[in-house]
Amino acid sequence: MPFSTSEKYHAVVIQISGKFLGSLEGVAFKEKLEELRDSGKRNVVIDLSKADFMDSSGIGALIGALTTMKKVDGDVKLAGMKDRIKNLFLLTRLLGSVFEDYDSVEEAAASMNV
Amino acid sequence: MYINRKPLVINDPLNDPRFQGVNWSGTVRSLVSVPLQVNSRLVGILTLYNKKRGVEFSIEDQRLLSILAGQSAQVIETARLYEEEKKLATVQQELSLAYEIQTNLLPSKAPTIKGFDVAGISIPAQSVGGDYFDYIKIDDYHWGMALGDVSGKGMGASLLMANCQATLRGQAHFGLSVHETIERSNHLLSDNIRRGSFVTLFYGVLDAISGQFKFTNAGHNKPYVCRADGSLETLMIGGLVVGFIGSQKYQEDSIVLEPGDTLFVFSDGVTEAMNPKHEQFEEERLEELLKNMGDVPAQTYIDTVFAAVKKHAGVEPQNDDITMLVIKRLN
Repeated sequence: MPFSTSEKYHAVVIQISGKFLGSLEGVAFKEKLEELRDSGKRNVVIDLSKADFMDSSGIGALIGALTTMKKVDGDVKLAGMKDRIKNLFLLTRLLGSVFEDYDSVEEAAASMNV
Repeated sequence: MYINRKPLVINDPLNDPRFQGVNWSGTVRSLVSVPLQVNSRLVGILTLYNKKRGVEFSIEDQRLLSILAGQSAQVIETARLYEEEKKLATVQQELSLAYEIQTNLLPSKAPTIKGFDVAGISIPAQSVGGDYFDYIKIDDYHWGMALGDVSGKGMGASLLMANCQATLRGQAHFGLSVHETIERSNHLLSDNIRRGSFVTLFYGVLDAISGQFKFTNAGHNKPYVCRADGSLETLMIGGLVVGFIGSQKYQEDSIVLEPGDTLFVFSDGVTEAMNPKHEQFEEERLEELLKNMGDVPAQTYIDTVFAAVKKHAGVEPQNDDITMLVIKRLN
């Protein structure tokens, strides 16, 4: 599984590594988010610093994560995107309007620490 | 039996020390039971109750039943495999029907528009795909041109693609501006699309008299305008991907296709095609090709780009749907 979780400040950090394809990882990722939500977690940072590639259904999985958390007044923020993935988010216009991105996990986690 | 998978003879159930906790029915006097196994997998249990004339089941009976069980299990397994094969054949039949339906949804040939040369193609990575393109005749001189990419692949994406196409076709005929057409389509699609799915969509309307092309780019790969002098421009103005936020507003922009100019719209299956080293085709290669295309027919743009993508991918299988739409203004 190309993602792992840890906790930083008051946020859960999900680190995605390598290729993130919604068709392969989408279901496990969705279940992970639901598990976090059900255990009372609200703030999630997706650490993309080790992610090299993402397809459209991978983006879809992240949108799913965001809506899952927003529904319970939580939030999902992105951190450490490499240019290739950032371009994908810029192209789809999801950055800024839907997702906030930060250079580091720390900054993203700190932004939720209110 | 489920755990041990061993044959069993019980001739005095009520007093058998192995089964003291069992609430035996009074009608059971004796039984012999054997597992039905295929390749060490338990597929059933065969049990005989109450040997006639009150005689106990013997080890010989157990052995005979075990032999019968071995043969029966094989027959049951063969029947199960046959049923599975039948089901698979039905699924495959459904899939080829879906392929046929989807193929018919895509334009079979480019429209004839005076002064323009148009071509389009969509090659799904699986039997059915999530990409689409469309030509929508609005009136004699105005043509809607669309190219969309539904997130995901396969059957789910193809159903959403069909929905997207129908929605856009419905809205395109109202004579609204391009951005309003997309706003209304987005509003309708957002109600139907499940969480996490979306469509990147490029839509524009060509005025076949003036060459003006008004467009909105809803989160789609930036199409190129290849000017007659070999320079390239990209079309970016628009907004968020479709089907995600129903109230989203979109911007529109316009360009004029002068004689010799070509509009090249494509899906990410082109630029993200990977070779065995997992290097993508990338925009740079595409731009290089487009710049050096020269004065060729619209179909040649498609053939040249597709050949280059295929060459780049080598033995690597096609990973994503590849779709292209080309509109060239003739000299």
